[in-house]
Amino acid sequence: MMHDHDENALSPELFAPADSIQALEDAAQGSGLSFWQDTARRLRSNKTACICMASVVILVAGSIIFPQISGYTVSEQDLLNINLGFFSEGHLFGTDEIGRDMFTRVWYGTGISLTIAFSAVLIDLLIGAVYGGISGYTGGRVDEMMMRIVDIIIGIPQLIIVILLMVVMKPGIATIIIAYSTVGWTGMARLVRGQVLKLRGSEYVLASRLLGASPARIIARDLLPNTLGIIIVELTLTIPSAIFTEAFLSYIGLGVQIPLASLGTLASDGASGFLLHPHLLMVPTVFLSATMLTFNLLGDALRDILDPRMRS
Amino acid sequence: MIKFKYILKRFLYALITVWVLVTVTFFLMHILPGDPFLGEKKVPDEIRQALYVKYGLDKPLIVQYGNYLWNILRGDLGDSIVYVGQPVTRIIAETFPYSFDLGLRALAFAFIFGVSMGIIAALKRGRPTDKIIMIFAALGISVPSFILGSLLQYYLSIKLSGWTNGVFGFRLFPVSGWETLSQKIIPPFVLGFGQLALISRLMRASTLEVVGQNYIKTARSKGLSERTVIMRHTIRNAILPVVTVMGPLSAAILTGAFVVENIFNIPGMGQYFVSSVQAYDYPMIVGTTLFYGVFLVAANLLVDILYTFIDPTINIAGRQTD
Repeated sequence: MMHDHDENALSPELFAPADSIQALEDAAQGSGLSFWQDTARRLRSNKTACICMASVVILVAGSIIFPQISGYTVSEQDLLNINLGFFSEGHLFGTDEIGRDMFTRVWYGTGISLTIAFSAVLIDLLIGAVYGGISGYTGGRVDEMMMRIVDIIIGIPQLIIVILLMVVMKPGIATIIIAYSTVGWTGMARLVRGQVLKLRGSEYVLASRLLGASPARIIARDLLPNTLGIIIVELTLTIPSAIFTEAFLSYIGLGVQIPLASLGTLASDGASGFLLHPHLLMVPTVFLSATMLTFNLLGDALRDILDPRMRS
Repeated sequence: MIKFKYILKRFLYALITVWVLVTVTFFLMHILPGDPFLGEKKVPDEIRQALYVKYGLDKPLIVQYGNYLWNILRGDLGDSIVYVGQPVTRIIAETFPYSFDLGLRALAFAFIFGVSMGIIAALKRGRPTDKIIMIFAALGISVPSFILGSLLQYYLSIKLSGWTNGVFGFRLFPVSGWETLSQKIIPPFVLGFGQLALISRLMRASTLEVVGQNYIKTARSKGLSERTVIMRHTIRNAILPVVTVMGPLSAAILTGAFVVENIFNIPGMGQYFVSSVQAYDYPMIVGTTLFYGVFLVAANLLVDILYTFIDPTINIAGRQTD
């Protein structure tokens, strides 16, 4: 941080021998804003980021709370009240062709879609960050080998392998998550590896190493925090892609199976009867698009906030 | 010479990738529970044994794998179960041209409009034009194609074309099919829309980055016209990141065609693939999967090679400089 220089005037005690690495780090942090304080400040002043985070909270909270308090269950049928439109009595979003409450179903579906997306992305992160971290930090032949493996896996079209796995395994939430992350982690691995490789050669890592910090400590204290920004952006942008994959699988009949419902299954069910009952497509579409839009815009905003090149 | 070595290396990787895909497919199909001859009807053990021998299933796994590889190399992908007696290769040969036609149109549409919209948005940064394009792009990456397809089919093919039919006596956009030009407008649009959005976002970002570079300043201060600065210096550099994603993009378009062909009833390969997945028609699934895989790996390879010719600064040895 170049601009900290004039704020921290040199004083004799800065040149006293350090007792421990901790003391050094405390001194080095100085009075300037820490990375996270700075990020939090930028986040608050970014309107898009605020709105998107609010809608993430609404989507997550709503998908947990509304199916509980709506008074209906996801698969509860009411054959006397089928295909009701918007704002029908007792059914805010109407009912579907066998009288299930759309309000409950769409919030429940949002929950399932988010669960799938979050889990897939977390597995991607876990495998990808560890793999990429080891590869980038070790370097040399190991790195070469590990990256060649990634090159090969990344060459396999993701959707093709996902479909293949879905055919072989029993359809369900876990299957979608596993199928998605089988290939999905490679992107994260490449990203983390590139970052680690870049940071590994930087002066402050060299300084840490000279001070005798262990590799584990360097990874945890120096490399990870500085890679985190880019990882978070990548995670945010992977969520819509996972939701999209789930919706796609649902459309070709490999999605979650009844009695479960996701935004993808709801939308593809709605699309088939769309001419007669447009609301059955409209409701899940709005939720699906709003969810994807939210995460896409949030990812963009976070990139602006966290990208070091964007800092003034 | 270095370039040649690089291309050879990429080619080798592509081959390994295809081999991995082929092998994974084989073993996935073998861990499947069940047995092709365990149907509803009880088959006597002797007959089942005879069937095993006929189809080579009595041999050790490794021999079966060898036969499987050999058959693929010979271009024999077996017969479809659902379309009885039809070799998978023949179904692919008959249906793929439609998918290819659709995909190519979608790709061209996404590339041309995506690149132009990205440039316009970047040059008008912060102004209403930029905002409108970016909202359009955000919608593009947020609406799945089966939803967009259903909506456009309803509003353009049914409502609007119904109206033109009533007033002018012709249908503007037919509901489905793939023969006349008017049928070939909406499906490529639906298929390419998401990729158009991605390309325009990417193009906007890279144009903005290039515009800030020193060589653009130099070009301006040399007194070059704005037109030359944009056409010769900005776009040529800014388009490189877009070229690198063309491989994955064509993959997305090809797989996206499964859905679009289904909606608009285009007799392409995607429709067959989806129906074979739903019917668990294994020879079809394996055959089409391999075909798609090989096709996409080849497309990626092509993009890689193309890139070495477009970008003179690329680090050909494959080492990352950053």
